[in-house]
Amino acid sequence: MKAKKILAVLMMFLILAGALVGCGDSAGSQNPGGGSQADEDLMDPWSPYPETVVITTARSYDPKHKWGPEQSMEHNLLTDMIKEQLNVEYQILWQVESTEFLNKLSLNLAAGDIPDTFTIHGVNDYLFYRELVDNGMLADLSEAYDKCAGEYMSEVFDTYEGRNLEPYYEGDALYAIASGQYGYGHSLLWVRKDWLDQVGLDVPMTIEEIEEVLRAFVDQNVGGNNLGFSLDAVNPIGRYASGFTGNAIFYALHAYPNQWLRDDEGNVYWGTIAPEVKDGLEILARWYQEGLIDKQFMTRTNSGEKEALISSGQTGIWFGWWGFPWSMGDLYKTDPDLELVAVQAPLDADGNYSHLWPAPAAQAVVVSKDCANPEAVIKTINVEFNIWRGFDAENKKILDDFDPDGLYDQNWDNMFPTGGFNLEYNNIIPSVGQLAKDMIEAGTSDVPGHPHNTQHDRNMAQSAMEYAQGIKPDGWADYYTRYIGSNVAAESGTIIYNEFPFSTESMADLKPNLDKLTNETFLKIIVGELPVDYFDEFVEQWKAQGGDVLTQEVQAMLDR
Amino acid sequence: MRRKITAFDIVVVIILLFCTLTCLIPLLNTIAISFSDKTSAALGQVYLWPKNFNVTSYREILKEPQFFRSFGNSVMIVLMGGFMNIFFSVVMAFPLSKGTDVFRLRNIYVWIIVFTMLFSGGLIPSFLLIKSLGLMDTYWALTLPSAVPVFSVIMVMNFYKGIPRALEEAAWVDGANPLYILFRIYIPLAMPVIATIALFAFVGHWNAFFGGKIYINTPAKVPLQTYIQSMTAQIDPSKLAAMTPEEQLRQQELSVLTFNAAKVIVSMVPIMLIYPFLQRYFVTGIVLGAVKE
Repeated sequence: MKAKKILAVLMMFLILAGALVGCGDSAGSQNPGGGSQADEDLMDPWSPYPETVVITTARSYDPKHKWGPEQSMEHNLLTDMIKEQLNVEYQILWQVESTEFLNKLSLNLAAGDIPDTFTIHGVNDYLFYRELVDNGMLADLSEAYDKCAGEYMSEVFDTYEGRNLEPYYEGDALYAIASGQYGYGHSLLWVRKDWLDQVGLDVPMTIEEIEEVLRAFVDQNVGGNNLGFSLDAVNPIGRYASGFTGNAIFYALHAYPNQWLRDDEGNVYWGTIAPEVKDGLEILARWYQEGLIDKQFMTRTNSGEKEALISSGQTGIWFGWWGFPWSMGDLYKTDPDLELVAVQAPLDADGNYSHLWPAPAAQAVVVSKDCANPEAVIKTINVEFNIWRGFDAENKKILDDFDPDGLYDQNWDNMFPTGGFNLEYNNIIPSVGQLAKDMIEAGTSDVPGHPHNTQHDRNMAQSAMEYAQGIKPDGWADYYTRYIGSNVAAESGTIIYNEFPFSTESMADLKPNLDKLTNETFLKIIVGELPVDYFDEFVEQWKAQGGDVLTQEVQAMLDR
Repeated sequence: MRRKITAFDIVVVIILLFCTLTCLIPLLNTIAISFSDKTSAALGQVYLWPKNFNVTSYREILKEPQFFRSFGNSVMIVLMGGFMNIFFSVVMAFPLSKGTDVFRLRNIYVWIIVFTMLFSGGLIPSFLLIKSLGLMDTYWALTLPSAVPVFSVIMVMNFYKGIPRALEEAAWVDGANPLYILFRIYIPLAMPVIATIALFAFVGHWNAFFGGKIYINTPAKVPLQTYIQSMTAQIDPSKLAAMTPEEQLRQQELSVLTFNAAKVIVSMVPIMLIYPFLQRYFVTGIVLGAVKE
């Protein structure tokens, strides 16, 4: 009897205690202390605040990057300059390694804590952004953007013709400042010229010519252990800017897999199920059978493994972006005969070259509705890039003097309070390529260049020039990327835009399975386990397993 | 007298050999990779022996201050959390080892703590709880929630049950109070099982990385495994789709196999040093904790 009574009381306490846990006062969103109201005088790109404005933020960091002495995310040269010029301070609530950022942010939002500002990816995290907007958690930045965007930001965004901000407008309200994603990163054909000379062939421009070169390389075992063409083990078909895939072969056949495209009637369709893809698969399957593709490509899943094939001299022809030579490490030192050539190939039957274009937006800065001074964030961006691009020469010199060898160059996204948000012209790659070309042809770094060129661009172009002149052997990578690669990428070709780079609701559930189905089926077709005609059945499967649903959703989003 | 070796023995030996190899080979492979050069490792040419032996990865680790900071953090967490675990297990098991004639509500307590072994609130409620208690960004968030390891409590409890009652009664007659009995008689006798639960506690806290991820906000305070995990994190393949080539390049630079292998080996060293000393208690400890009189 007594025991039962005690038990009852105990249970009651336990339940009460459990119920009271949820009532805890959550830390409460940070109110920016002492921030002045946004006066009309302050709504311009540069004017500092009379009283210090504190903006809370959450940051994602890249653990690999090195900090200079006495520098940290909370306190570094750049944050000091921002405080000096704008009287704005950034208080970092928490930081986490980049792949965990969205998870931790979601947890904190569930707990009711939203930082004043944070940076997410405009395309990858688009659904997350949509949820924030639909729940009314973000501030409308349209006025702040109109009045406070600096000259540089406006100029840069002009080169994208508004495509970077378009997805973030709801009527007249703008909820995210998304940087544009510059293009020209499509895959070029890289070939080792020294090997071409060895087999006595010209640079291949069509699919047939590529096949001829491959056959020559493999048959004559150029390089000692020639494995042929190397494909990606997970996704052999590739997408925009993927290296080591067969992507450009498909483009020459007018197939554009892994993209949403519009047909002539304006209906959207997924590029992978187009009938032209079958032709591309047929070629790859035939190559594999004839030994022109690395027989072991399916096992090369380690990161850096395919690049290692190049540095160990086992393959001499591959698809990669203009900056590919940067991943070739020290090969130019160990293999002095190494000479590369890059072309936009293969051409289609009419001799034209077509390629993809990236999604319009990259990193996006958003501001919470509770922030008293959203325009402070835009002003911060102005100051950040004013210094970083060298327009504020005095402060840039301070940064340069601190880091003369450029050891901490890559650390800019940890230094900037707005994280990885980057402002870059849409045509930055061609313009630096042109600058390098001008310098090399003139033989001096004293060329006018493009008004957009910054000191950093000039340094790179100069490095390329010095390599060409033979005075800087370590400029090898800069030469091949900025001079060779960039200029090839800048040549005209037909651009195929991605109709819909974002996600829809069902994509999180359905797309991974569909992608897996696609990759597995294509891999099997390439290695010959399944006949090429299986492709038709694959298309039916793709549609049935959710492809049709996704197509409808994308169509609905586009027609909105 | 030597026992005859039967066919059964041979089968058992073969199976155990197989299990040992399955555990040993990945370890040897990782050690070999950590001592090899970058290209061979990336090409998958390293099996059980290093190729192009060099110690650059280890040298790189020594240059990174955060690694040592995280190492120190983990040591602190292990000591803090480990001793808390041992203390609570040992003390809590004592009353629970008495029968219901001595301690009437004993069964209720046991059922309550067993319940927590089976069910948990989940990620978001835990996060809300830690946040509202004001424990964010402290080591308490990593050690308090798991301060009472139920499995250890039950093991120690069963061990205490195995201690002859006569001992306790004799001490009782001589005027000892329960605290004295616990600390002066039971605990010294329970050394085998305490070594076992100490090992569980230390290894558990040393290997934990998830708590560090969600509860620690300043990078300097991150425990070792969280730090290592953040360095070896694989990027979601679906994100590769929209990644620019520059980002892909950075990603490639991040995941250098030899470097990561070296980090993994270094983080294993402390546990591997402690284990041999506690091992002799391990087997006897678990068995003793299981048998009741």
